[in-house]
Amino acid sequence: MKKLVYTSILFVFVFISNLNAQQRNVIWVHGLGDDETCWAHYEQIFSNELNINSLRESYGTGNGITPAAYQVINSINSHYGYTQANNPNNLAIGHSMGGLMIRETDRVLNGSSKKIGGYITVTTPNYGAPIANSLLDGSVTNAAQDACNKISDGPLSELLPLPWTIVTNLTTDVLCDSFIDNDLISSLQGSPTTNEDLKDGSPKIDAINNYNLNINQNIPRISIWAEENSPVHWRMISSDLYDNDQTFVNYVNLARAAYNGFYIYNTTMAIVTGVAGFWNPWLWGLTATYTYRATQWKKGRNWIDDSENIWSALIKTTRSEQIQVYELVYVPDDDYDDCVAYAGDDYWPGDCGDWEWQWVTKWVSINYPSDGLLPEYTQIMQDNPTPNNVYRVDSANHLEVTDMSNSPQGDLTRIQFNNIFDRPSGDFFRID
Amino acid sequence: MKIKSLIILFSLLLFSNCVKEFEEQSFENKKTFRSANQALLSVSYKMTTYKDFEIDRDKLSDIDLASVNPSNEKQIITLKLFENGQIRIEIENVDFNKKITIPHKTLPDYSPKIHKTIIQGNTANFYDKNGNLLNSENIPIPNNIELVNKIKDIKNKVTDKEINNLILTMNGVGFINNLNDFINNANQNNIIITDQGNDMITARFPLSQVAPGMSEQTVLLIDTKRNKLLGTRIYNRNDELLQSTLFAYQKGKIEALKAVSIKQLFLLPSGTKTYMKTISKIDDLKFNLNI
Repeated sequence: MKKLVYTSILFVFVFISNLNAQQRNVIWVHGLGDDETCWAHYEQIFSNELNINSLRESYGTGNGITPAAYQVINSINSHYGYTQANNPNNLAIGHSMGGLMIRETDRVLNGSSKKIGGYITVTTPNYGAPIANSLLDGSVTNAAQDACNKISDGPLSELLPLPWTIVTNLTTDVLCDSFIDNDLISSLQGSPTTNEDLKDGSPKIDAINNYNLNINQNIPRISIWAEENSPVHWRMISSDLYDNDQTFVNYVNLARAAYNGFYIYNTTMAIVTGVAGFWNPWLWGLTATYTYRATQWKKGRNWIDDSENIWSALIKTTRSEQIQVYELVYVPDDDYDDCVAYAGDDYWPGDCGDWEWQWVTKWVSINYPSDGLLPEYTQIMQDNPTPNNVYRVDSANHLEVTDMSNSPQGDLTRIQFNNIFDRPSGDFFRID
Repeated sequence: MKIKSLIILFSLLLFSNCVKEFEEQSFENKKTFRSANQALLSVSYKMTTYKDFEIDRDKLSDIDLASVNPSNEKQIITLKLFENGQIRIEIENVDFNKKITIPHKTLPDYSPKIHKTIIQGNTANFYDKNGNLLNSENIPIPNNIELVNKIKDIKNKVTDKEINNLILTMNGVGFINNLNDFINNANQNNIIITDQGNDMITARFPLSQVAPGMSEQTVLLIDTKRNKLLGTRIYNRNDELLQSTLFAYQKGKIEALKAVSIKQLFLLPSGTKTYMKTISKIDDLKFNLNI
């Protein structure tokens, strides 16, 4: 009898131990145009730290959300087998479009055939990616051409042969190309089918959201959203080119200073030749030339200054607002009328007045938070009954959020995953 | 006469809001000397610039509006031109209390800011606010030996006193004959002169005549009474106005440049044409000529 009791206790202990030791299935899903390496950093960290059985594979994303979702389903079936594939404890984590692919797997499967019991979307366009709309309507192409023109005008007016060093390194080959034509943008662009699925107002995304709103309201789900520091666009491109979000920003700052240098050089030479023209009026022709060149360089410099705003408008994170600013306004002198009478109507009465700062109201374009690609609002799922369902990764852009190991601020994505996996006992997202 | 004061130094502080009386100095019988490190010419000034657009902002698309935010800036500039045609230029960004700050809601940029740029020869050095060198780059600033020769040629035609007087007053009336020669020889130089009345003319010629390779045409607006350049216009091959620049001078004994206004053709990302206007106020202009 005593032996039977011991045996029973031992059995119960082993059973409980096995329960505790049961691995949690975690499916890591990449985004548009990416592959299984996307989540390698965190999958490896948490596979070592936690008791999880990870699935991390590559999926084709060119045919839209639903075909990609079925690839995920097939992958889960083949990796986990029949019994584990339908385990309601299965947790899926999706980056960008991967989040929508996961949500679509939930929508297209019914009852016990569902593959996941809850999910985490990471910088996912839950309400569409406005950049897809800008790509589809040609705004991105127009903005690219505009960028290339404005960056090129200065060097071309100077008659400097292209490419010269700083142009090669910092401007047309990088600024202009990176803004639109590089691999990053190409990969973002995806196929027309996928763009249609991802755009703001897409029927596919509406169907996914309606499913959560009306049918499967209570599936545990969490949004991780990222907010990048300014300049968000250069930081995202830097992450693409250099695996950190600062190097390219430094290059752009150098390019901006170089453009400003040429602008100021030409402006100052215009002043010099304006004086020297007293002796030799031919030199006033140079004044015209220098002034023209100055403005061409300034155009490129201004574009660099405005580029974050322009990019933000393409990804729909700007708003038009009225603010008060100081404007330089021409104020005529008391003898202004005499001056005009002397000079005639065509004369510009600059000498008969001065410019003063006046406080005026203007419409301006203001940037709002994003991860460099997606606005804050679309990264966060609404009408979500899961408690504490939003986590924010600070100083992260859309690309680096899947590996913040090189971030000067530290691995902030890892911290947020730790916070999620450390949720209270009994919470769906807790992993021991 | 002091042997050591062999440098003919024309130095002038031209304050835009404060026109000072000045004492005309005699430079007769002074010799010209310039050390190897001394600039043939140096100019320094403060420039406060405001940029805006001639457009109804409330009717623009988001992307176009993003291209036309107003801005302003203030920079302190020193340029030195040396006898070998090379230049040294210092540019310092300055904060000021009228600075326009667009209240963006994004997280701040933590990257090091370039506060000062020094270009000498073909090298540009970039410094932060504490004077730390952030980076260096090769920059192909053109050599200005032709301008140096033209400036040095001045010495052969006019006296030191005349040069001094002009630099001090920025009044070109004393050299009105040069302008008259320019107008009288216009035909043979392929310049189209048009009388605008009120002592003003326009002179139209291809920029290639002064800057080889340029395809644009320029129209100079000249005050023939005061021998002053009032403005310039630049046209492209299709005779489309690309840019209009107007110069404003102080009134009184010192007629220094006080502002430059530029209206420039500007294409919005949507392709819509507009004009960008820039006003640059020039303060504390100092002009040294050392020939």
